[in-house]
Amino acid sequence: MARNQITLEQYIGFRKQKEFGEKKKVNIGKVISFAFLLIFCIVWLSPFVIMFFGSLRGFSDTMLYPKELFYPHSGYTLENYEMLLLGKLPEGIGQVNSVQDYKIGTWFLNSCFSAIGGTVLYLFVASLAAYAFTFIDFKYRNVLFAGIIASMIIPGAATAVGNQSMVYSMGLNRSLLALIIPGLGGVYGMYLIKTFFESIPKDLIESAKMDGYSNFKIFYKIVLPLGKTVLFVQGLFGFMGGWNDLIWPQMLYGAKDNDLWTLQVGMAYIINNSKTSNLIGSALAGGVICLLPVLVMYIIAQDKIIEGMSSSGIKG
Amino acid sequence: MANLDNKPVDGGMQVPAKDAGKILKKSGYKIANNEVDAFVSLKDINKIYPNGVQAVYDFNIDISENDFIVLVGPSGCGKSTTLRMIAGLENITSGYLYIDKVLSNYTSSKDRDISMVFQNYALYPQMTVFDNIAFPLRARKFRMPMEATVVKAYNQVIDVLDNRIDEFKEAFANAKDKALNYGTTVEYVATKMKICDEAAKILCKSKAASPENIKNTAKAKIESEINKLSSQGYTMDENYRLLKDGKLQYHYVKMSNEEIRRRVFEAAEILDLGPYLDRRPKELSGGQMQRVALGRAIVRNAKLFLMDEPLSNLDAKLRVQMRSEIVRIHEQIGATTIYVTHDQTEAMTMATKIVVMSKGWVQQIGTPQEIYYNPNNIFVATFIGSPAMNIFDAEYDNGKLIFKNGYEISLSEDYIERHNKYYEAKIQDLRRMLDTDDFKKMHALKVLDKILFNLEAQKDAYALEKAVDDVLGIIEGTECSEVVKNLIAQYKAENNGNPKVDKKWLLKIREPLLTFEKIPSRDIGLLHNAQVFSKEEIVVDDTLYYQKPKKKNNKKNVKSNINLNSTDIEFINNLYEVASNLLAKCEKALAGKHPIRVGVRPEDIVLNSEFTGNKTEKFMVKSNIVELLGSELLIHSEFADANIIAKISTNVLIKPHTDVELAMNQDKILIFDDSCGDRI
Repeated sequence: MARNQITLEQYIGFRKQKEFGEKKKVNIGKVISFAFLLIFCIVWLSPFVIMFFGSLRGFSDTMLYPKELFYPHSGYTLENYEMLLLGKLPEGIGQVNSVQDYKIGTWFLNSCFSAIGGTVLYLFVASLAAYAFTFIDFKYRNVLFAGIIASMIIPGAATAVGNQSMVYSMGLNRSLLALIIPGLGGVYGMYLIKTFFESIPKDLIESAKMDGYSNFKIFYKIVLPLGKTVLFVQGLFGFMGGWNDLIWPQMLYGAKDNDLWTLQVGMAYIINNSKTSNLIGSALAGGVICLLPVLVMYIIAQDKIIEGMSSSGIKG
Repeated sequence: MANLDNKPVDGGMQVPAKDAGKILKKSGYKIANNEVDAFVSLKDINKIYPNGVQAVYDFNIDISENDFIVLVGPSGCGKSTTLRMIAGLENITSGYLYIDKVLSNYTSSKDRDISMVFQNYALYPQMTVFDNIAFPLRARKFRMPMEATVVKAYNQVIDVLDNRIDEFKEAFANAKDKALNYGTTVEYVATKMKICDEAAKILCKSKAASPENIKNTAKAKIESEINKLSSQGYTMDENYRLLKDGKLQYHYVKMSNEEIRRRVFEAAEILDLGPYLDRRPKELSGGQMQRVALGRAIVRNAKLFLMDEPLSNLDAKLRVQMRSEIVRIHEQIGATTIYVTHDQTEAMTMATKIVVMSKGWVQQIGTPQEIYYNPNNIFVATFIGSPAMNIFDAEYDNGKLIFKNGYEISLSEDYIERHNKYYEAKIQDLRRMLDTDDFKKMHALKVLDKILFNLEAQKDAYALEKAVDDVLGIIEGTECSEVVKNLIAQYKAENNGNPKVDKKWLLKIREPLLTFEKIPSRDIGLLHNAQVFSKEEIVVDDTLYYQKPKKKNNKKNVKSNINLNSTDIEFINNLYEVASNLLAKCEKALAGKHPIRVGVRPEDIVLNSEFTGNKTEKFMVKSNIVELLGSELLIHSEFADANIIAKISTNVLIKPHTDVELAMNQDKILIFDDSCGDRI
């Protein structure tokens, strides 16, 4: 075949390919949906943006919002953070009527203790329970499980008062353990973990049992390694829940001395104290401080979260 | 662990009830039965699931050592359940299971010393092949002779430094590249040099840089260790094992890493798994995964192997290959194996003994040859063999088999005698059965219930009274008749000699009739077969007298409680009917012409022109489909209202839709009873 010549068989193929390649028409539906999503994105992001930039503005600029949201005329300043973290009041701020000191460091540690400790303990308890409900055949198992699931319909706020009096009567009214213990009976996480455990073939457990492994060894040698994705997901949920919880710690310690407060309780107090216009910046700075650890953790663990969520069938 | 040392007590020993607990506790709850000769013995094993379905009926088998037992049957016949009961994964409802003469019903599966291969391999996805195979070894402590490990290690160090120092240096240099399969450098060196881990650790740490120094410390260490041991009263033999008063001392320890490595490598060698030891199950093919599962089973040297359809997930070619592999491993290791499959080819090729099961009943136990050539009944005959046996409906008339199209085969004297003897024996058996108390009671119940559940008849006082008389007549001579008579007398006394028979009273009479003693399982099995394998539709459904869920209250059938090894089983009472029907048929059969079923294996239908042995009269068929299997031809055609398959050699090529002249091999014809499917 001479150069620049082509069989018709080849030509029709090229033409089809070309057509497909050129088919980059503007899809109006896509554009509209994209624009729509963009608007929602901005709407949802704007409070965070306002919070972040608002926290960087001085007390005298706060009322010039939104005109000077991004460019305050007296420049960016860290005085809000200094006020919260170091207790250093900027000059000329006027009266600050807070009764208690801001102990951000202590609150932060308390929050860490409640969120991380609570999560780890809960994972341990819930995965053991899930193992028992999945792999051990005991009497009234199904009845018991149905009862536990049924308890999910009772909202947490309804049991809060009962929990409080119980925790007090246990003598934990000045202990951070009170933040953790009532949460250990949570059902949702156990149910999630159990659902995942059910996908582990029973043969694996039976085989190990025949080899002479005890239930606890099977649990940590086989079931835990196989179920680590769901534990990770539940761990993240638990952490977020523990970190963001306000009602329970507020009920327990809100009226007590502020050494026992968590970050959220403290933040509520700060916001309560920042009702005058010159203190709004400090409330916004407090919000940033609260948000930061969760955000950092999320960014670090992003891949794993997505993997875990997709493998355990949860829609994020 | 202590109870492993205990000697089992004899289970047949009669002891006072209050001491029984103490004696058992002393023996670690181990019971032996010395009358059991077999290695594994199942006696009257029954399995009833909590939902009321009975999966296994009276399973009896004795398995001797090194046997390869195959349980085979269609799906849902209870074979896997039986295996799982032996494994301890399912509870045994009633009956006794002896493993190595020890009653094992209640021992947990880990104490039975068995290993099992699961259908879907059950490999741990997060572990490497090595760890998977080593997993059972890490589970428990093993009884091992006590060793002076320190002395052994330092002696080996000295030995290496004296004689094999170059070898060590080479191994140490290579370790980085080759340690992949072995984990660490120390483990590689230890395996390569055949020394223990401790010795390898000492050598690797010092890198054998200054041999003299090491040797001196080693000698000092050995001396102090020997002094320490002798102060405790131990002496040491040439293999570093500790002796006390001239006896080897044992203790329970976890298996050392080097022992685990040795065993895993041994298993891997048997199974050709060497190159895959560091992979994960995900990266293996189906056949390799299967071999890993086998490796995990054999590595423990268990007494008993259980395999639950291990080849059913493999493709056809691999299955054949693994089949011979398993047989080879069985020969190499010699462990007793129980193998479950639904594939009759696997059963025929692998087994030393086949157990054919159907719907929870054992149909036949025997060697493959026995099962193939002398099937007990029509189920075994059609299930075993591929293609399946041809079954014809025919009539038996005085030594002649008359097929539906008029084709005749005259039987030899032998056959006729066997036929008559068979029916005579059967009639005798059935008469004995019907003469037992339980069947009499069932008969009485049937008579009574006819009245009880018929509203019209209840209005007729005469009929009611007649029924009572009938019942009394039937149960005459049984224990129960006294009870019923007493009831009647009591009733008459209560009503001042003016008795009016009513329904309430009949129900009272019915109560004592409902208590059964144990009907022998052999009898139930026979009647079961009579229902399932009979062609006549006398039964409503073939699970008619299986245990049914208690809530399902089907009023048409009388229900009663049978005490079968203290387990309440609800029977639906048509056993009597089945038995009496069967008896009538047998009697008729002995009298003259009666239907019968004829079975001929495909290879026993031969080309008339080729076969020279003892053959029946020739017959013509039209071939429908002809399948060429290489060495053989399968001819599908129709004869005497039945589809037949003939298997002939390929010497003669036969085309589809042509007439073929065939005959049957007279010596290989099997005859089955029409009413209960048994072979005559």
